[in-house]
Amino acid sequence: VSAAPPTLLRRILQGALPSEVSDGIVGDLDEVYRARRRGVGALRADAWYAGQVLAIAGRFMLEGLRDALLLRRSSLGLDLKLGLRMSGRYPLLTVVGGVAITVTAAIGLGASEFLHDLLAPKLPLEEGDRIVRLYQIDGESGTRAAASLYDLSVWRESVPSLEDLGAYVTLEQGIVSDRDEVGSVSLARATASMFAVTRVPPRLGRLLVEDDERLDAPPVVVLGYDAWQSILGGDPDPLGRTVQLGGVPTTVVGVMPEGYAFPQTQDAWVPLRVDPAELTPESAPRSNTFARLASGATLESAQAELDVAGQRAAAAYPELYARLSPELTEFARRATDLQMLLAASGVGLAFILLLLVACANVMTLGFARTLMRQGEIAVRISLGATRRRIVLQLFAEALVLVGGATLLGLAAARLALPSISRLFFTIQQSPRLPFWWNDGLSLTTAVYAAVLVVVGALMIGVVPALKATGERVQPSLGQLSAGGSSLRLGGIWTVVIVLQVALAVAFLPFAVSVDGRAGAMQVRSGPSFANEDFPADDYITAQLGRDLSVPPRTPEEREELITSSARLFAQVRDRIAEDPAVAGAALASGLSAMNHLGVPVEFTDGSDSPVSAGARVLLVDLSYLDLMGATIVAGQALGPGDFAPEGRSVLVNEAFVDFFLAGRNPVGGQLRFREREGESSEVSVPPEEASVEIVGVVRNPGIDVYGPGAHAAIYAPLDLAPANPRAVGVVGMPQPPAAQLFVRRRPGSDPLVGRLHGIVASVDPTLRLSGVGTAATVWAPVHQGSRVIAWIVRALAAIVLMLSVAGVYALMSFTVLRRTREIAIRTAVGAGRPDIVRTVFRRAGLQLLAGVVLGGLIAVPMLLDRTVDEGPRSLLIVSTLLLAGGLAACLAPVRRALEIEPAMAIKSE
Amino acid sequence: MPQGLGEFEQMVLLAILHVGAGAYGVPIVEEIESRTGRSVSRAAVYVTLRRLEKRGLVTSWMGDPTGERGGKARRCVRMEPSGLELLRASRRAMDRMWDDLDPATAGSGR
Repeated sequence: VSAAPPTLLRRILQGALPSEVSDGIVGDLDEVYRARRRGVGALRADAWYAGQVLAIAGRFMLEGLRDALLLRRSSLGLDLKLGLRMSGRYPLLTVVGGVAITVTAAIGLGASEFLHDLLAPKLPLEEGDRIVRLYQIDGESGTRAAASLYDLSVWRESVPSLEDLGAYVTLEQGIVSDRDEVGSVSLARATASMFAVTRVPPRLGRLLVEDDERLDAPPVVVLGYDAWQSILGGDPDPLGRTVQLGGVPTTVVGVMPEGYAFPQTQDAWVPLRVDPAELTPESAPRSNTFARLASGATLESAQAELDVAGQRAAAAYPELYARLSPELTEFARRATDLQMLLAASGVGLAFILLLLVACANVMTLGFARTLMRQGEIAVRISLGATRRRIVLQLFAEALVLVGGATLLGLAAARLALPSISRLFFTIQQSPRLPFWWNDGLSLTTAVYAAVLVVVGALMIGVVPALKATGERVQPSLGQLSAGGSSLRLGGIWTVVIVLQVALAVAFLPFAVSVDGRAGAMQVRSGPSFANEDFPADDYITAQLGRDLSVPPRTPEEREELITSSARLFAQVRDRIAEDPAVAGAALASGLSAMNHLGVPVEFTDGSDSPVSAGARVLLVDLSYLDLMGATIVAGQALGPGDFAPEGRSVLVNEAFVDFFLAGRNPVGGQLRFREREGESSEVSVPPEEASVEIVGVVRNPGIDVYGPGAHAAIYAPLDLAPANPRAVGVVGMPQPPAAQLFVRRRPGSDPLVGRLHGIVASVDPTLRLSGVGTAATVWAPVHQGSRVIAWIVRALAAIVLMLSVAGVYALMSFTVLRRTREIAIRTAVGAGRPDIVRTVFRRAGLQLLAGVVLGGLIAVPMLLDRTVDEGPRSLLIVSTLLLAGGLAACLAPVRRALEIEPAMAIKSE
Repeated sequence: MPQGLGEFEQMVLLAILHVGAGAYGVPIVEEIESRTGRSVSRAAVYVTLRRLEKRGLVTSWMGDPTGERGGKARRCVRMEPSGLELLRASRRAMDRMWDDLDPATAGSGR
């Protein structure tokens, strides 16, 4: 068996070596490594390999240094040093340009990194890119469906390009150790081939083997590192201990190393057992299917074999398989190459546009600066410096600025990425990050950044330098001493300024309103809720679920399960409420504020035409709103009668009224739930049942929203026994039966979390509590993430504003500098100050005005489309700010123009 | 005057001659180790090969990738006539330095 050397080390070596020798050396080391591994074992071979990597990489780096010192051909080092010094001499350019590039780089590079990790991640497993996922595509709807275990058994025989085919299902399950430690694990029921596919040896004990999959084999579990630590306290000898998994005594046979969480976030694995009698096309259960590409096979060869298998299945069982065609992709990949390309190029394009705007501005500034240094340049040229030399030097200076700023931007992206990923997965209701998630920056991103640094430096340094040293302006020293300049700013600069002001005007009001919606809480530290005094630490919340060793198969079984679960959940709530440390307990359909997308609804109150709206729906029990300290501001609260199966009453929050009804009184109005386009719900609701009545308006409960009025919400009665589906059943109970438990503890009482698990277990052993935390901790990632996003929006807004003002300033300075002599002559022949001021201001004023008008034209339709009343106001404010800022930027140059001594200017002619 | 060859460079060049056609990093290291009886730093061999190639004393080309090498090809090396010439010159220089020493000092190592 030949195994590859550690991937990371191999990659380091590859990166450290000059490209022309890297393949040969890496290959040599691979060859020797494999031979050694066979002789001395993996551990010693790894150690040897690490030593070699260090020695060879170090040696080649020294060699590179030696070459550089020996050759000294390029004076780039000197130029860079000079560039650093220049950055200090031109603080405006350094600060404005630096900040603009930093923010742009942070956002652009961070976004591309995130997107890549999300859509086409790389599994940190040996040859992880050869692990694939298989599924069936429904030809009619185009959707992906899980393959059945029957498909798996067929593919195992008929697809030689795939090896170690297997299947898994995942579920959250309660676990109780033999010493009564209670918790929950993210469990995978998987075929033993899963471990063969991932090629990771156990830390302790053994992996699952095929024998474990027999129906009569004793129940066994392999624990993940985290579960081993938390449930077995990291017991050094855990093998043979018994844990209760969903009420079944199960023997621990192995522990996996830290970080192993295949297929996604799992930390316990039990064998997937199937009755061979069930393995028929009609009755085989569905599951997630995976495999590894066999040696020499490719995705294409495997797909071709799958196609053949699919055609055979369709011929044999047309009623089941005619519409289905099997497909495979890399295991963790979420998008096709085309989608990836589109997404990446979309983000890339936005980023490049932003960077272009930033660079164009910095270029304007750089141009003005180059102009001021024309004297220096002229002196150097007359002393014999070549044009190439001067351009190179200015390039190096720009490189320092852009390089430094991009590095800062990369660092900022690296800092922000963890928050953004956590926010993303929290919203996706996944408490843990998939094991392949990597918050670090990839090599691709670093290369991308490096390329952009060079392009940016070319734009900022070389373009103005070429222009300043061009044939037309090979400046004479005499001309320079006149204090004027022969350089001209073409129309392109005018376009840049106008576009930029337009962009600011169009973008800022939008950004401000986004910012306002995300809530005003971002600046405060720590998680915050609508009511600042909301005692978030006193609320404990957790998800209540059932461990189902056998999932329901028929609709009757399913209904019975939901009814029994509802009864048990209510018992848990009531039992917890009796605890002396508890002030109250309630159930809801989920964590509000994390509640996916809004549901489309239509509001009618008989008078006006219907109003379309969208809101998050939270199903709550009778005690929920009271427990959260919510107050009714209009109408009435939900009463016990509303919770009867025929009840049709709901409450809305103030934000709902503000957003959609412009303050109209909604009480007595009807809400009709509509299906989202392209979606079909399992429950079909007759039209007359699909509407409910608003009986009251509730002040945004502290726990429910990020900030005052952030989200429109509808509170509907949580029907704990949904015998007949009601309208809101469309968004009804989460599947499988689960509910969110909220407990308010009495201040100063004993710690409660441990007892909660006990109470839940005592009500029924199949009940499970997961995701336990205080309101403060559970929401923290959301708050943190939304803070990050709000800061990004603000940073962008500030950048655009700053760049516009700086651009105007640079342009004005430039104009004044170019027209020094003209101004002097005018002053000398008696032109008044107002004349001079008008001359200088005219161009800037026109440009600003053109920008504002253009931006307004872009923004108005956008603002009209949104029902945000502060839109026009922010448009006005931003336009005024920009005009004022731009004109203020003209002041310094105008003062300089007025201070020109006519006598001096003309004498030097 | 052309730059001479260091002792290690001579060893690497001689190893290339010993290994013959298809010499590359792995057998070169093995050859030096087996003939000198001392362990050799692989890093030094690679850096030396690169320097020799930059000086035009050896040339290299890529062979076919193999699975045993993680899909990487061998970088094979061959000595150029100029390399052989310089190697001979180095030997002659060394021989002349040993010439005329009394046998007790020179020993019988050669």
